[in-house]
Amino acid sequence: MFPKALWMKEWKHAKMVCFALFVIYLINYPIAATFMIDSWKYSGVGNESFEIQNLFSGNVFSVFSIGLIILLAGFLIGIEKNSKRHDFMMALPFSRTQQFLTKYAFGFLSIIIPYSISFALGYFVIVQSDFSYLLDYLNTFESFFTTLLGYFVIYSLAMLIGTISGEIKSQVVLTIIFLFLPQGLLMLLSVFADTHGFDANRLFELEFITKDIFWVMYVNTMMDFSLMYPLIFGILFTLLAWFSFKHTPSEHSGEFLMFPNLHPVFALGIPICGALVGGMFLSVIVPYHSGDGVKMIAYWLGFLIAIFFTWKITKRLLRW
Amino acid sequence: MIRVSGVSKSIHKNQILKDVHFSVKNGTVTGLVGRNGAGKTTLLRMIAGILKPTNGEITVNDKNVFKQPSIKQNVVFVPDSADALKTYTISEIVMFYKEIYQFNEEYFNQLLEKFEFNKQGKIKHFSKGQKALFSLILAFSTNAKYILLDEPTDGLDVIIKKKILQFIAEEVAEKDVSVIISSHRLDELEKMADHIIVLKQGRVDSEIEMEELKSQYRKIQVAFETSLPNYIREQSEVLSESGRVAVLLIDSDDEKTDQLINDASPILYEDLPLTLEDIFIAKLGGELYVS
Repeated sequence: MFPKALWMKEWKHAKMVCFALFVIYLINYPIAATFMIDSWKYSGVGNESFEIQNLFSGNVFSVFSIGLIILLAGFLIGIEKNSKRHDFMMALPFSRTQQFLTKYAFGFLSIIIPYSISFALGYFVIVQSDFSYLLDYLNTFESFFTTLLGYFVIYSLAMLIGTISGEIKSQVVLTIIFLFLPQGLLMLLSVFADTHGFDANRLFELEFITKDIFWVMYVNTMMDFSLMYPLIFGILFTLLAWFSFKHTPSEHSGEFLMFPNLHPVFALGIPICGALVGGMFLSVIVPYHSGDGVKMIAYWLGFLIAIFFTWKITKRLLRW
Repeated sequence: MIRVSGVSKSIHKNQILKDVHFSVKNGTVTGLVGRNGAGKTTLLRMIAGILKPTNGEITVNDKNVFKQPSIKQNVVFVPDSADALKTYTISEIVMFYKEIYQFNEEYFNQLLEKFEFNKQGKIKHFSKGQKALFSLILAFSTNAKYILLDEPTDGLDVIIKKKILQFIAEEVAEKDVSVIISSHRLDELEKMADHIIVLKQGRVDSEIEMEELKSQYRKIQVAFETSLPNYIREQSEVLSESGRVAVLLIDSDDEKTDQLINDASPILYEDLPLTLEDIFIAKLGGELYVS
């Protein structure tokens, strides 16, 4: 049975974000294309390949759309947990699988439909112009799917985080953290290594982290990405989110995390990451000529101060 | 029939419910009473399929609410606040409910007119009492067989409280619907409940059939020339005592105590209407009653 009521419910709660997403994509493609044509008419086209690829590649509006996608996942999952809506939803005669798949499909269609329409309109604007020849320099398939798969994997990650977090604020914050976690950790470890006299450069040779799973970079279609990574990870995140949603213990809704089993992971992870950030901040403010010893002392001072406060914060978050 | 079999629930390592068993027959009103924190809301949320039991099973018409959630078309949970509905307008919520339940829109509109509801605007603009009444109207219009009401009159003024209790009583009388009402107000429940389940520290402390209960006991008021004789005091439950006047609870078939009272030549001896509260005070030390 098609759960029309669930679609109505999701539309009711998330329609403003969906409209905002549509507007952003319209600005990003057909409106941007119109302005670009004007610019080309007056200033001429520089590097043809770059100009057309740049038009269909990421910009500040792509970053806004990522923000809206994270918010959309929050409106689909997290916001219900802050209120009596969670009880209302769970008391309805639908299975958790039906509920999750409706939420997921609703959100995914809210991304793919306006994105595809806007991309096609942008393409059409160029086709109709005097600059249609520029499209010969554009790999349309790659431009379309690289960005789309980037959105897909970010949305799936946001949904997964939504199923494990207990309310919308923790969902949004954790999604942003996890979106940059591998690269952030790499940077923190490199500062740690550098401060202690190790060669940190090799860490940045790990292309898997610096490129393949750097999801926000996929909106930049001018980079050469393998589409397999966002596809595989997107599917993986979706399956994990489905599993997690099915087994969510409702009694923890409104808390920081839905699964108490994850508390030790976060109780360890948050203070360590916080301490590494604290160490980094204090070591970089030490004057360059102060010497490695002072830098190391400053690092550990920052590390200890940060671990103290992040541990306090973590205890409060986890209600320990 | 709703059947709760051996249900336990722990939250944050605290055992909220312990091995709870009971069943709710069709067309009855079941009162779920207990002090704050006794586990009433948790139990209702489990029957509604919101919380999964740590142990045990909950079935509605022999179907497990977690394994076959479609059975919940026959179960409507009305929480103690209508916050979940506040962003909806009446027409939106009607459209929504029509997709889920066998919603009787005509009956719903009749009830709205009867209680003089403004059909425009969002539910959040209703007063607290109106929200509570609206939630009940919505629930009873679904034609669901089981309605779960969590503290339906909590925090409401006496006028709206009376309206709500009367409405529930009328609905149950007219329809073949079973209602479970959680409350810590025994005086409200005794007017309409057929069956009372007393929860104490997460366990079913006692189950009472109201019809049997009132025929089991007598509440009498007695007065003597001097104070209440000790041999009568020992044979009965003293509900209250003021000077020479005492209010006693005795078993209906306790002819011996009745004879002892008569032999003591009371200057006053009359039957008083028995309330559920009297029985709880006498039999359970009054610990369950929280006004």
